[in-house]
Amino acid sequence: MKTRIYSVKKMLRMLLALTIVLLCSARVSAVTEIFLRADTTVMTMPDGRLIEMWGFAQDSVFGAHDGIVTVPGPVLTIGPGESHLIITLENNLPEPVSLVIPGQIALAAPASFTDDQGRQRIQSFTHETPINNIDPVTYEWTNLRAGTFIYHSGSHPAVQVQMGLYGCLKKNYSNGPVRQAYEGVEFDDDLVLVFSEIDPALHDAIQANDYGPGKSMTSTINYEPKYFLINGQGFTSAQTPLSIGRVNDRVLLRLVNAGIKSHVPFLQYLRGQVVAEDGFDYTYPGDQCAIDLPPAKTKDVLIVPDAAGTYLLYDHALHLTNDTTLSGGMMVKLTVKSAVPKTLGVVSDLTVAVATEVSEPTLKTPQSAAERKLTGRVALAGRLATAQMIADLDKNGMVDLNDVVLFIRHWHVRDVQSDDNPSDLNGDGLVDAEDLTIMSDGIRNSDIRKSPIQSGRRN
Amino acid sequence: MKKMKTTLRSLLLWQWAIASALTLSPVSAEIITEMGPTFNLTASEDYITTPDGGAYLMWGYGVTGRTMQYVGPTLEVNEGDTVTVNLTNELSVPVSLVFPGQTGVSASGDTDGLLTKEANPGGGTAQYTFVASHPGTYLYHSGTQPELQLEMGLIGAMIVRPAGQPEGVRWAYNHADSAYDYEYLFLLTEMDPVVHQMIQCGKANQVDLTAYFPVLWFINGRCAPDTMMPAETPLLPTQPYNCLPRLHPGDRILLRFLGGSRDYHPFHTHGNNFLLIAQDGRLLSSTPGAGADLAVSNFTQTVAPGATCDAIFTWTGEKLGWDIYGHSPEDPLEMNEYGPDHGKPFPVLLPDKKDLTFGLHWSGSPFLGTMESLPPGEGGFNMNAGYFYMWHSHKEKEMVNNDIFPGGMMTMLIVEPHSVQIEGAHGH
Repeated sequence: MKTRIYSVKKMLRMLLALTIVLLCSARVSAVTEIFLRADTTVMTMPDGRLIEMWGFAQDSVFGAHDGIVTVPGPVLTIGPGESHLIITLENNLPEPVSLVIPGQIALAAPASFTDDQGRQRIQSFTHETPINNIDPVTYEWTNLRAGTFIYHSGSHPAVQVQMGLYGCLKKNYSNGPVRQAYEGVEFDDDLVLVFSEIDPALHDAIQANDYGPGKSMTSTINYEPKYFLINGQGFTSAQTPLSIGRVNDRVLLRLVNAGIKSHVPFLQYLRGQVVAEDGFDYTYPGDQCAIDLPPAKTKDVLIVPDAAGTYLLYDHALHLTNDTTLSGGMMVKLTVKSAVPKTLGVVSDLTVAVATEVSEPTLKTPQSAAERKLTGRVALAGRLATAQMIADLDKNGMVDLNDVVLFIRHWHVRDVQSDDNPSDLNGDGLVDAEDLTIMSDGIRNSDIRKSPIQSGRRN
Repeated sequence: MKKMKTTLRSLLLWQWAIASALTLSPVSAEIITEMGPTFNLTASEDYITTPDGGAYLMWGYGVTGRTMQYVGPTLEVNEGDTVTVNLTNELSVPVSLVFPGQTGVSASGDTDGLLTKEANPGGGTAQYTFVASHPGTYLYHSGTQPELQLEMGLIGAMIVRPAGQPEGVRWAYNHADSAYDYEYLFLLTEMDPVVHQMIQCGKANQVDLTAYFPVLWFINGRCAPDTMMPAETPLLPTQPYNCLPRLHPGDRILLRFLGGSRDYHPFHTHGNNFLLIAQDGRLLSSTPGAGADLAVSNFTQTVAPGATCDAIFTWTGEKLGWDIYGHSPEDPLEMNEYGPDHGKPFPVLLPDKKDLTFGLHWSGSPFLGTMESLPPGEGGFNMNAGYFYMWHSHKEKEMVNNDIFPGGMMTMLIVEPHSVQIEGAHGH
């Protein structure tokens, strides 16, 4: 394990730099660049079967190969002010690939080939990235709209999309003071759920180089999927429930069907407002519990759970098997926590007095996010007294540089699915400027100046 | 030869079914329900029959003390009721109940299932309680391996009557936009007999639902033409519910659609558009209290699995361009008659009878409520000289029974003359 010594000055400079970066990125509308790599990976199905997949990885820069290939591909989160998007593609697959985002306007130059009867045949909805490209190939959107979208390969889609070249792109209309998915559609937390299927026959044929004209599998016409996935996983009872925040949070489910079958995401004992379809918001959201989701469609559903507990979301088209095994497939458990703000949870007995004081107004169940935010502000009123406790991330009794390093390492990590992000000091699911404020207060009250410390490995 | 025989058989069945629907009494027209708010249901196995001669093992719910039925008993409660369902399990597998569209359902039972509490095989019990907080049309079904148990038949409908319905009228929701004269249930399901045969042979572990291939399609647990037979006919002891929508010109009928299986069913109403007023038990309103101001006029309703929707349908013969009663211009108007066409002559000169072949529903006259003589053996399916419109899944392949047309997810709407009484529903 590599260790480094950080000076106080250096640490504070880093914090300052982070703040500046944050403030700048929120105000300047520049080109957003994303580097994707199409590559192979192997997925393990719940029954242990290994399936060769094609997927996308997000690299830090073209050729870096530091991303992980996943199916579905990474969720591409675009900031509200970012309307000019360039995705650079690297192709490590055995055939040319490309990238399209249905619902987003782009200049497309469909690629074609001449078949053996002399006919011009389209093979791609847009220009292609050749196999093992040395030079970056870019795909550009100059007027990216807010919403929930699918991105997928536009080349040979009957094969490539099935093989796994798909993912979700999301962009909020606004990130503050309250997040809006679309104009006026406010929410507190969101959760992307990508539905897809796998028919192993195609994957086996591709892996054996046995797909194509004259080979044993010549088309995907006999599609018969055996695995039914949400976010790349078929349900098993061992699966960890997904946290969707707290009671009375407004949770936006971003439902995406990247499969070829229709699915009906169904909320058991929850109801939701269907606020948008294909990245376009409805004038009048519908109150539903069964949301039909045909292939390539996205729907955004706003739910406001009024009771804590575990809820189930499953496909009411009943694709609930892992191959022939029942009680699997397209199902996820969603947990809703009770309405107590998280900041109180990390306060130790040293600050019981303070905690009691600030917890008084929070004992009432907050009725709305606005009220929840108000509660948050009340909690912050005691922040100088409590920040020192909260900022002691490693719980060693003092705020020291270890805590600062921990905090930085989680900078801008958004994790609404877990309560375990120690740097999410205000518990809003995102390590952001608000948390930085609390951290600064904690540092101010601490004897950090005396404590040069060892930090852990940095990635 | 075999094919001919089958066709003839199908035709005879068809003839017999409709004839019996209209001659046997009582012709129950509407939705038969079990009255709540407390229900005692038992899950058990039995057989159903299909018009192609098939008999299939089913798992179904039934009122405790009676046989299981496909589809399960339609449960009727009032808005605000605390609904309690006591479930007894006489199957050889665990079973349970979930209530799509409801919230705050509490359950107790023998074991913790994945979706809810379950009743153990061989007499185990479970109990479910919730407040029916909103009026509307809802499903209930097994929460135990629903991918298999819904296919096996463990599904039914629940109707919640609105609390704000004034005396003497019938509303589906708390608004006059949902007013209706008669109501009909369309619980749409399909079946792959292979699954049932595997279960029957004790090969549950060999069932492969990824190879699911339905060949039978049902409305309220019956395939056409059985959909038109009387409700509770002794000929179909485990399939008590029919689906024979009838109305007089100008009546408003409420169609309660429910998707009870794996597939989408685009249900098509011949004869006129309907007005879609509600989805998943909620009126299509722009703001609370605005009524069904977001209602959609359409002639095919895609019913998604797990979803429900409600539609209002009416028919007056509007804009046909001729007088459906065969009036002279000086005759008085009939009730709900479309005025602009009053007294307009039938636009076709009918050929002589000996130059015609006849449909089974031809009364001998084009005019509503008028019967004229037909050659011996012709017609006879149209007892009241009404108008028949075929209502069916618009996935046309679903209008068969095991590949034999006509059948499947289909029934007839009958526009009856005003003189015909349409019998009301009865509850138990």
